[in-house]
Formats: sequence, C-alpha cells, structure tokens
Amino acid sequence: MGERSLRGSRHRPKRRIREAGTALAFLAPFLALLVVFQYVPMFDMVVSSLFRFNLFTPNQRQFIGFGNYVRLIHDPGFAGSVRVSLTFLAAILLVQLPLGLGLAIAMNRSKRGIGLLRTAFFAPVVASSVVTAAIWRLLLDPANGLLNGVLGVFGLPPQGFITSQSEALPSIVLMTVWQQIGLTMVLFLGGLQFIPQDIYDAASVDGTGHWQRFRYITWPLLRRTTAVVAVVTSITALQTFAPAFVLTQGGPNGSTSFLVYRIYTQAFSLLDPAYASAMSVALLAVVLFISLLQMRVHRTEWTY
Amino acid sequence: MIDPNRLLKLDWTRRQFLKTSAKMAGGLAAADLLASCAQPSQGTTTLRFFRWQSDTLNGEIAAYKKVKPSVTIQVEEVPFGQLYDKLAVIMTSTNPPDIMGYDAAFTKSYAAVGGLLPLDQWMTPDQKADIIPSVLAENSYKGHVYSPGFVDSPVLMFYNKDATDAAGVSPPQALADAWTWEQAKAAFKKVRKGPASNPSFWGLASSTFGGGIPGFWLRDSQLARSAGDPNASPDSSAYKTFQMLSADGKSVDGYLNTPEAIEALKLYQSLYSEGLTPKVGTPNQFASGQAGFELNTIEFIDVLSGQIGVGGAAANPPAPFKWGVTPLPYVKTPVVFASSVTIGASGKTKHQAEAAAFLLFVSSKDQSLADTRHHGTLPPRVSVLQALPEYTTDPQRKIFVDALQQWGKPPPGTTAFTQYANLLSGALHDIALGADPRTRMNQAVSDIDQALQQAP
Repeated sequence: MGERSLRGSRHRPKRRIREAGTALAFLAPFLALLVVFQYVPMFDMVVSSLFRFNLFTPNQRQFIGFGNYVRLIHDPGFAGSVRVSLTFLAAILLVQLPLGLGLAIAMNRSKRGIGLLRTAFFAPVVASSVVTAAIWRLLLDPANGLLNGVLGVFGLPPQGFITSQSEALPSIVLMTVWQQIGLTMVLFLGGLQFIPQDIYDAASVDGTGHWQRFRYITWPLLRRTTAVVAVVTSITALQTFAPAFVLTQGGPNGSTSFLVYRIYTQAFSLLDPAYASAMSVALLAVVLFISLLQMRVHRTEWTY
Repeated sequence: MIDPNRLLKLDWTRRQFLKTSAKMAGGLAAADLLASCAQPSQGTTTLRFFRWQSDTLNGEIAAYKKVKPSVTIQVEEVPFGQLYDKLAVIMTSTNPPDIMGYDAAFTKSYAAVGGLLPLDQWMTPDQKADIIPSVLAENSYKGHVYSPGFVDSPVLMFYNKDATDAAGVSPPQALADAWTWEQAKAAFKKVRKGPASNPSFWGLASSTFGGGIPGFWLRDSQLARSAGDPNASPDSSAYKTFQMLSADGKSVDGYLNTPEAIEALKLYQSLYSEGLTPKVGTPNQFASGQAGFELNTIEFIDVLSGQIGVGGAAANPPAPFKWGVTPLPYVKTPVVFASSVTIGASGKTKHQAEAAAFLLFVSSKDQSLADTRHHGTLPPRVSVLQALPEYTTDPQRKIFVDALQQWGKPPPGTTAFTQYANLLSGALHDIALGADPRTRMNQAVSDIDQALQQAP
C-alpha cells in the first residue's frame, strides 16, 4: 500500500503538467487574439504617443519624447473633455446605480410575467448604440421632437436639448440611463439572488422592517456586486462615443466632447494620431485609477 | 482520415477529442487558404472605386464596361458626412482604393502626401485646355493635374415662389440685384410662419451639406468671407477677411477672426437664435414645402423638378409649389466658392494606367455631357458647357454659370485643408448653436494655426 501511494505521488506532477498543457492549448487561440488585438495595439499606442507624425504620412515620424504629454497638460480642449467625461460618469453613477438597484429589488420575485418584464428592461442594452442615438435624435429634436411635443401638451416651453449647451449633456445622461439600466438591474439581480433567504427569514422573525433589512442585510452583502456594477458602469461611461458622434458632434461648444470622441477627432479629423495616442494613454490611466478606487471603496469584510 | 462513425460516439478520450478537433480545424483552414489564393481570371483588372453614397458615375461605369470589358469597377460607399474621415484613413493604408471620390478643395492636402496620382502623362494638351480654368486650378498642385474635374457646384439660393408671393417678397433674379444678408434675413422673417421657438414654416431650410447639420464650411463660411473686400489694401482686415488664409499659408489669425468676420458671424448666429433656420437638420425640408428658402447647388433644379432623387435615391414627385433661384446673399462682396467634389486615382494604385484611362473616359466630352444632362450639374469642361444651350437660355441654370464666372473664387489653398475645413466647420456649428462668435473663432484660429504650422 505504501509503495502504491508512492507510485501515485510520482505521477501527480506529470499529470498536472499535462493538464496545464491541455488548458493552455485550449486557451492559446484566445490568448493569441488578446495579444494581437489588444496588447500589441496598446503597446503601439504607447510608442506612438512619444512621436509626432501626420495620419497621411505615418512613416515620417519625429521622436519628441513626452512632448505630447506636456501638450496635454496645457491643452484647454483636453481639460474640457476630461471635465465632461468625469461629469458624465458622476451623473451616470448617481442616477443609474440607485435606479438599477431599485429595479432589481422590484424584479427579485417569482411572479407571473416577471421574466417578460425583466426582458423588457434589458432589451435596450442589446440595441446598437448608434441606432439608439439615432432614435433619441428624433425624440430630442428641438423643433419636431416627441419630448418637446409632450412638454407642449402640458403648456411647457420647448427645450433645446441637444442644441442647448446646458441641456445637451443631461440629455445624453438620460439616453444612456435608458439604454443601460437593464444591465445594472441584471447585475444587481444576480447579487440579490445569491443572498440566502434564511437570513431574511431570521430577520423577519426578529421583527425587522423593509428598510432595516435593506440597510443591515441587503446592502452590506451586495458590496461585491456593487463594486462590479460600479466598475462596469464606469468603464462604459468613460468609453462613451456614439452619442457624441451621432447626436451632438461633441457640441454645443464642447459641452459633450467626451474623451473618446476627442481622441477620434484628433486622430481622424485633425490627422494627429500621435497626440491622440497620448490622450488614449491618459484615458487608460484615468479608467484604471477610477476602477481601482471603486474596488477599494466597495471592498467588504462581509461574506456569506 | 476522420471516421464519421467515431464522430457519433460519445465515449471519447481527451486525446481522441483533441486529435479530431485539430484535424477538422486544419481541414477548414486549408480550404479557406485555397479559396483565398484563387487567382482572378487572366487579363481582367478590378478597380476599386470609393465614393460618397450616391449614384455617382453609375452610368459611366456601365458604359466603360462595354468599352473595356476586361476592367471591372467595384464600388464602395460611405455617407458623405463620413467621407473626409474615411478618406484620411484609407488613403495612406497599404491597400487604398484605386479610384476615389473626394472634395476637390482637399486636392493639395492629398497630393502633398502622395495620396493622389498625377495624371499629366495621360492627359493631352487639348484635354487640359478644355477644362474650366477654376476647375483646373482647384485640381492641380505644384504644376501637376490630379483630376480632370467632375462637376462644379457654386451654392446659390432657391426660394418657394408661392410663399414669397404670399409674403409680398420679390427675390432678385440677376446677380447685379443680389440681396445682402440683412435683406435676406428680413425676407426669411416675412415668409416664416408660427412662433420663432417652433415655426411651422421656416425662413431658411436646414443645411443639406456635410452631415446635414449647421456649419459645413462650403455652405456657411461664405457669409463671413463676403464681409471682406478683395479690392481693399492687402494690409487691411477687409482684404484678409476675404482671403481667409495668409499668403504663406501658415496662419489664419487676423483672417478668420477679423472684426468684419466676427460681425458677419453674429449675423450668421442670429439666423439660428431668432428661429429663422433650424438648428437640427431635417431632410427635404424645402422640397416638402416646409421652408421658404434653401441654399443649394444647380443639381437641386432637377431634384425639385422630379427628374432625379437626392444622392442617387429614387426621384420624388416634382415640388408641389412654384420655385425660383436667386443669387447668394452677401455682406459686402458677392462671392461663391468655385469648388466641388471630384474623382481621382490613388497615388498607391497598382493599376495606374487603367485608373487614369477610366478617369479620362468618364470626364470625356461625351460622358460628361451625358452625366450633366442626367444629373443637371455644372460640367467641368468648356466644350460641354457650350454644347448645352439651356445653360445660357434657361435663367435658372444661367444664373449658376454667371455666378461661377463672375463671383467664383477658390477655397483657401493649403496642404492642411483637411484640418482647416474640419476645425472651421466645428466652429461654425458651435456658433450656430449659440457659442460666442469671437471666443469660439479665436479658439478655432489657434487650433487651425497649429495644424498649418505642421502642414506638409
């Protein structure tokens, strides 16, 4: 018996190596795609940010070191785009997360037709951003849009919406929340359904009310889910592009000039891909920082 | 070999599964590789033609197929609003299209970086001499011709005669009687119906240029330019306003943001802020009888007559109202851009002779004549213009020819025109939507100057 167990323990490392090799073989195609389509372009982006060249003449590069980053610091347009993107992010987090959580709590029940309702809320998430923006362009048209039509029914004056410097960004927040609330709801729903029911049963026996159960049971046990939702929502918000491209062209007067839209126009309309690469590196740093910050804020010692 | 019987069995070992999967993947890859290596039939050439979404040259392509069956023209399209950005990317790619439709004002931008093929070696002196001088100038760079020209498109103003008659407004018919922009604005106010916040009938229709939003440089920068004076002293701001670019091509500071230009931009902004023209584009606004005036090119005559559709779409019925053409208003000096879209060959095409032959075929007298008759455009060739008596007898077409000859001036010539046009259009768009003209134009001037300093 001792001999057999010794023989078995000699085979275990070989077996682990074989299993690891099999796993790597299956992962290899996807790793290759990840490297080729994600990490190589990212590396190229960082390298490009250290040069100056025109989109028409990509082979005529002049090394300028951190010149593009110095330019970023002094660029009021870039600072404006950072402000717009962070304002948009804050608005999305403040509106979408509570609404999504509320919807998830409302949908977290077994009732007839609840599946249909959940699908209805989730449907806009899978719609193309461009199509969504095109539809909202009709809704927000200051002259003939549906929203102004509804306001007119209540005797309210028509609004500029996407043609107003003060209303364009809130209009895009509204559109984005409408499109993304379903995803937030589904993510929170997943978290809610993992909380054991017996905790709630025990709390009910102790005579706790709805608010107390939410405050002392649901919210603490949802911290990890909230971290995931916050990070996903933040990354999506900071990558917003279609509304600016389709609806507002970054205007009026830069009020919806999101970072990604500015990067796009810098590269393709102003033919300056090197400076656009520097902006992209800065955006990457911002996204990483915000993601790490959110994971830190939402870290939890509670588990179940 | 793969045994199909074994495929149906479920008791595979991991090794068997991996082996079979690898064989299947290898077989599929080999088949795909063989398919992609398939050679085209000998003696045929395919020319890729990239253009804005339209039926541009469809007739000529079909005619060329009969003349040269060995050459196939493969068309690729994008909406016009995306043309500039798309061209910026594909022009310098490793596999650009052989033929491209583009804005002729960008010729210097593209030619300076080798994006276009010079056609001199294939063009005869007679062909060059037959091209209208302003067209030849716009399509040339450093003594080389890059396109034989395609159309010419000055922008004038169409009006709804039923609406102007009802409002007691009489738009001028001759260039000499052209309105100023103040007079035009007064006319827009008279024909508008409904409150300024939401008119039921607009004074001036929304733009149909670029992406259909306010600010497109070709349509909207002419207003500020007309506030200048080409006969003033070259040191004066009036002269510089008209030039729109310094003589050395390195700066627009003191050219786009002169006092005259800023005042003109305030007038331009007032058209939007006073509800005379919409801030958001609406297709077919004039043709469907929702606006009293529209800025457009000569092709619009045939659109309103129901002979052609917009951008190659099916023709709509004729406009349900009487209409006319009036000269483009001005501030101080009447001016129209002598500029339009054109077609050229890529500087990197592997089929230079074939591409040049196709371009010269479609711009030949016969083909240009057929295209002009079909689309109602202004032809780029003198002989074609002379062969079309309606361009001198029909007052609505004659006014376009006269405007081009008497008022036509090219856009600013710079190898950074891509950036110039995009930044200027962006500034005009923001000004239309309420940005302070001086602040916003100064910002654009700063950005444009930076681009001009780095221009090739």
